Amino acid sequence: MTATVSPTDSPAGTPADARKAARIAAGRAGPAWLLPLGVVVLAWLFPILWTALTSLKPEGGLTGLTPSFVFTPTLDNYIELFTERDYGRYLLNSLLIAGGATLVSMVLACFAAYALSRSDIAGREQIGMWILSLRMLPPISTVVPFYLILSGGGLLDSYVGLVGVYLSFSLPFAIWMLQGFFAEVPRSIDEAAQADGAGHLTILFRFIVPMTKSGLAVTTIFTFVFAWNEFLYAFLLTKDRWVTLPVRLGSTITPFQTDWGFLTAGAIVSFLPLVLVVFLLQREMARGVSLGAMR
Amino acid sequence: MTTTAREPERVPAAPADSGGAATGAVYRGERLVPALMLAPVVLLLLAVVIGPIVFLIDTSLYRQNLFQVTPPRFVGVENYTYLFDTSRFTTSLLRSAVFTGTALAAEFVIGFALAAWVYRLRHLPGMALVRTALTTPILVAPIVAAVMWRFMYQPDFGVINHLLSLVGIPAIGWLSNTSIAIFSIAAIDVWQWTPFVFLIVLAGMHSVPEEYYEAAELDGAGFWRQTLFVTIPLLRRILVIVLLLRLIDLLRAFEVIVATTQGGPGDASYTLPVLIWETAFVSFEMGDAAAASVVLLVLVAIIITTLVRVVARSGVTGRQG
Repeated sequence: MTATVSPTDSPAGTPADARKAARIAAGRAGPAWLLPLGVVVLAWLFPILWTALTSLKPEGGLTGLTPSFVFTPTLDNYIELFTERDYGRYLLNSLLIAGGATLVSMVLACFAAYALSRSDIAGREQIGMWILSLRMLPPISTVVPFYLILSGGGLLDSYVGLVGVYLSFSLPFAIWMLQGFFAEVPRSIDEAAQADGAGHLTILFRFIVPMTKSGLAVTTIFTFVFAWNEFLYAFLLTKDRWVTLPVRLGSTITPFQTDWGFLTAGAIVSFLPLVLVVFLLQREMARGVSLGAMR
Repeated sequence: MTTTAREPERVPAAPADSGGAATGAVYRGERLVPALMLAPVVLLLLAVVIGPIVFLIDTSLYRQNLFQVTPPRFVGVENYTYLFDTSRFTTSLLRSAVFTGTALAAEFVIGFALAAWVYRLRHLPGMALVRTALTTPILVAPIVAAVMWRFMYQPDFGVINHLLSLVGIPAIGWLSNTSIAIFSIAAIDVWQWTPFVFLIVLAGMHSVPEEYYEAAELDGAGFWRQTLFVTIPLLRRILVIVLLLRLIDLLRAFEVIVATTQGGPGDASYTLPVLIWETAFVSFEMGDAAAASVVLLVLVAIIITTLVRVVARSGVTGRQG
């Protein structure tokens, strides 16, 4: 950890000041550490890059014995995806279902997380723990009852049915994440606002929500991602109309012959919208993080 | 800011300060609105979660095959005693423990190290890019991640063995070797979820006032001491939450195993969720599957309760520590 003290970091003062500045600067590792970090990040992204690369390979080049890094890229796999395999529809289904589940979850979670983290209503800790415990349910164990209940109500392969089922995991997740972020806002804020005559709704929407923007953004993103990527419920609770992207992708894997070119293209299609969302909200997240949530 | 009392109502009010006591009374009185905020969520969750669980427990008490015309027969706890007698159940518990333990440890060590690394470089350009880049694996659907890695793990034309062969390492059966398979699958989860640990820990480190680190620096504390005495105590609550979330997800990990090995080779990756899946959707023995599901639920509930108690003892309010 070599100390690279830039002139701005060490104000020309006493030698003690300079030493102090040097020590603090030593805590900030030098630019030499950027290179290995870059290597680690690239290695971490390799599976995605390899998938993207594979999706651009012409058919026939995939099952060759040695994986190639040099080839003529083609968009054939993507074109086939949307022209012959109707992927636009699955994309839209995924968007509507994940979007619906996220919207409902976030609105309800704001209120619930406020009540859990900022009020002193009776049993709030128990209710909070109960909601947390709902988050742990293995979908594998609840899918059978969901199937029987939805088919009984004629809601199999329906929008309301699947979004309702998705709430069973996205709502507890959103509440749990949010109440953690809400709890970090100092209580003195509430007291000051209350002294000025603010009610609970004012405190929530005028103070807590603006102060936890990065937490809200992070929570929204993860809630959406979990719903967008969900496989098991969608696989067993939809048939045709509301089949989502992961289900379509999962059902193309066969033990004998797998069309890797098509599969990798589908994987990239399911993944790109999420990258877009994260990049759009990146500034929001970065600002929240750098402000250190007003501390 | 950090010394702010989190729960003013528990702070003994100074006897002379009548104003403070009055504020406390008003605070306690305002319960109707929060209760109304919470009620719809509680009702909704009762409907979409508790209903199915009751149904599940009920199912576990019957002998019921989905593809037999004979009606479900009440057998009491017979499904459970049968489950505990089978060796595949013991095996599945062992496999789940190995899978969960390995992945959890790796995710925390690597995630924490990466976060500390990036935090130390925070004054350099490109850190936002690093953060965004490392976010991307989380965005991949588990089923898609499993498929991607299965493609890379292919023994003959997979890219991993290809790259290894360039440095003279012979081909490895990542998913076909019984002593490696479960770790190969754990690696997929580590790849996908270490960034989650990284992101949350990094956000937590940024929320710690920078002066704390600078003060520790001036006291001569190196990186490890800073981690041990500044980062971990201050981020205790968020760390336990992340630990909880990862533990839960690992215990119920399903897609990543089913899309790669289906529990094999042999029983090398036969975890509890795989057992449930096989019992329910291969053998269609719903009663047995429900019993195994209840066991999984209870198992997770015990772990959760323990951890929650630990958090509560060390102060739920976290940042005061």
